[in-house]
Amino acid sequence: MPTTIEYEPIGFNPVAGLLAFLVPGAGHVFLGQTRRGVLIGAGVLVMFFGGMLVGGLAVVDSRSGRLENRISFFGQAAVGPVAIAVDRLHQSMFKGMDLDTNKVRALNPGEVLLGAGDPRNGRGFPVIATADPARGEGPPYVRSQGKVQEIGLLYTVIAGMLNLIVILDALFPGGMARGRAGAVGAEVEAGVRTAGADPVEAAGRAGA
Amino acid sequence: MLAYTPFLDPIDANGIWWAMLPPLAILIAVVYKALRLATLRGYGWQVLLMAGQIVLAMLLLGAGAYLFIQHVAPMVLPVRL
Repeated sequence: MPTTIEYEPIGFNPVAGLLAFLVPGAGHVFLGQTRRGVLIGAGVLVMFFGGMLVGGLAVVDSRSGRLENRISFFGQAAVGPVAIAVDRLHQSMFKGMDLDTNKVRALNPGEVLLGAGDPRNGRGFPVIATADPARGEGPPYVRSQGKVQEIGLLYTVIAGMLNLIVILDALFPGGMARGRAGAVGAEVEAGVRTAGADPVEAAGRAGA
Repeated sequence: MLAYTPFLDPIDANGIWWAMLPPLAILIAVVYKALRLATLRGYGWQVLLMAGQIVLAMLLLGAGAYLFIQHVAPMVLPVRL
């Protein structure tokens, strides 16, 4: 008996797409695919913060002196407001004005960040000064170098790129129907399940 | 030396950077399979399978690159030092 496989219609759900950008996985939760959304969100966020754990704060830097960091931020930003907030935090709280060049930059070893309220500063913005080793001063964080920097970048950029696919999948539910239909067809041939055996999942995919 | 602060300072793992790749492969598989599978039945096995495939592919690519650079390239482009 021939088996008919119904292809899922391609929908358009801007609310799900927006939610997927705001919080990884939230778009799929909105579409009724809670378990799928939780797995996606956990995977993307663990990957992003895992990259920061390996490479430190320096891997998320949209105004870095390193070209690869600046380019990588475009990929990292696809993780959503979390990545953008981390970068904003980095720029505003962990960098200072170099009074010799009048440019904001990250600190090198042997330097200290004097906050706007520091009595040694006297200005309304954070500035970079020479650290006093006797007082245990130093930069607010150590900039990663070499392989840990590369691995940290890799984790955070892949997190963003995967979330971009997630956003598109939430924006166009059922848009990857060809691949899924193929998988369903293979299972039908193997006698594992029949097409449309999971109506709840299918309804969610269609973007109800 | 200032104290290590997670998420601010990098970990001291330059010598074992390769150990960070299998967890990355697992995380990629976690997200991709959650997105791609028609149903989440057998999800765990699918994730392990894909992660294994990624790690195996990286090993094979590494071995292939090593063989090419060490043995094939010197035959094609001999360099006299």
